[in-house]
Amino acid sequence: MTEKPVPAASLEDWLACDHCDALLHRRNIPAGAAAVCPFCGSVLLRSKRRAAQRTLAFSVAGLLFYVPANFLPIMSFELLGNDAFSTLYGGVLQLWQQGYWWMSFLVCTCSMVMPLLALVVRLILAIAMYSQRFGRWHRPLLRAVHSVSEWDMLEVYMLGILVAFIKMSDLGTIHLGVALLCFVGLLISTLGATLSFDSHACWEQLDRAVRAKRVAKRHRDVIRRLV
Amino acid sequence: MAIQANGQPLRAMKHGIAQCLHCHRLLHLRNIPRNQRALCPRCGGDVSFRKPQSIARTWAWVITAMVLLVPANVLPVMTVISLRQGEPDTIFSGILSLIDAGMYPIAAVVFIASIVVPVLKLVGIIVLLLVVQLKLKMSPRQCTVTYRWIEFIGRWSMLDLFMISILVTLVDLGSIASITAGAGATAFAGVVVTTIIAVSSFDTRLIWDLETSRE
Ligand SMILES: [Zn+2]
Ligand SMILES: [Zn+2]
Repeated sequence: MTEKPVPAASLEDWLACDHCDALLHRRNIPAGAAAVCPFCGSVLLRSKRRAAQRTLAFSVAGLLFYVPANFLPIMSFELLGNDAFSTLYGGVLQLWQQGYWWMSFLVCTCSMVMPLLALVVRLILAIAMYSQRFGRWHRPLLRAVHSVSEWDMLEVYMLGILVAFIKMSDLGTIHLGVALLCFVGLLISTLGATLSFDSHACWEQLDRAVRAKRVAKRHRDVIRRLV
Repeated sequence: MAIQANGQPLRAMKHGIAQCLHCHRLLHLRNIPRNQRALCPRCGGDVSFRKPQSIARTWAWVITAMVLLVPANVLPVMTVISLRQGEPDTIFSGILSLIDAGMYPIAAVVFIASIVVPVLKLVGIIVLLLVVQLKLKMSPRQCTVTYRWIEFIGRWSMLDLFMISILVTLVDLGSIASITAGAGATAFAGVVVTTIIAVSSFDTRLIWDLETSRE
């Protein structure tokens, strides 16, 4: 039985599957395509077209939508001459005032804090990728990107708005507010920023930048010694 | 791609290679015991061959979620008070009243998000845990696909909580009508969080390890 060569010291051309631990030799993937694990079917990596520019555009757009989507009325409800309106922020505040701190905290995290962080972190990283300037402080940001998006649940919130709308439109009059449009804009930009961001490429660029810095420092040291 | 002569893939762990799950960098980790940790030189995160104490941690979160599932379903999640009258609704009675009002699609959506998803998720993750612990002969590929589904559907159970947070401000009309949250919603929020953490602490590579150990 002959075994294929096992990866030696350098592991740069190899990938391991997250889900089944298969070691795979990395080949060039055409831009916009994905490499899929042949054993378990999970996506190993996806190469993104113009990742930096697209992420930059989407996250800027998302940040513009963020404030109106969170603080302006999404819809208002009218019954017997009285009316009230709901905002994302208002819901969190109301739950807090009713004494449901834990629920308020969770709703706030998943619908306000994490979406904002997801946009800001991606914007910072996209700027770094675009300008090719990385520092050590980019590492924790890049590491956090995935977990932040895991708790960013705007699409579920959108479904919540729909369900609440249909449920209440039977009982009274509902008017949709301007923030609903901003919310849809925020949702689309967040999805766009998430899908267009290429964390693999970002790690590689960061590695290269750190290595280049190290080489430059060594050169400077040598020159200093000679002088 | 590297495949051994018998058609099996090369397993990273067998060759002393571990992957950092934060940044996907591979590392040679020879002579380090299976559950020992090392630091990733690229991102500074913990690196180990398998998620540490994956089975025990996953069980702990699964059991917590199952315990919380009881108050989440028994206690009221929301009370609608209209003209000073109103009965607290549990998740299930809320769905029943939607059906009574003839809102079938909405009732179905809420039923799926608040009852089907949490239960399916818990059952699914328990099956996967048992596959690993009892060394059941299941297709590892099927198990991995199941895991990815469980991971994807989890977030949708937040629907009910988001809906409550919209309704409490939308229907805030003083003495005419108002909606307040209930203790059941807090428990349900706990169920959502604990199941999400349970799923992320499970390591599907343990299922594939069973195959390697059978060879
Ligand atoms: Zn795989
Ligand atoms: Zn790492």
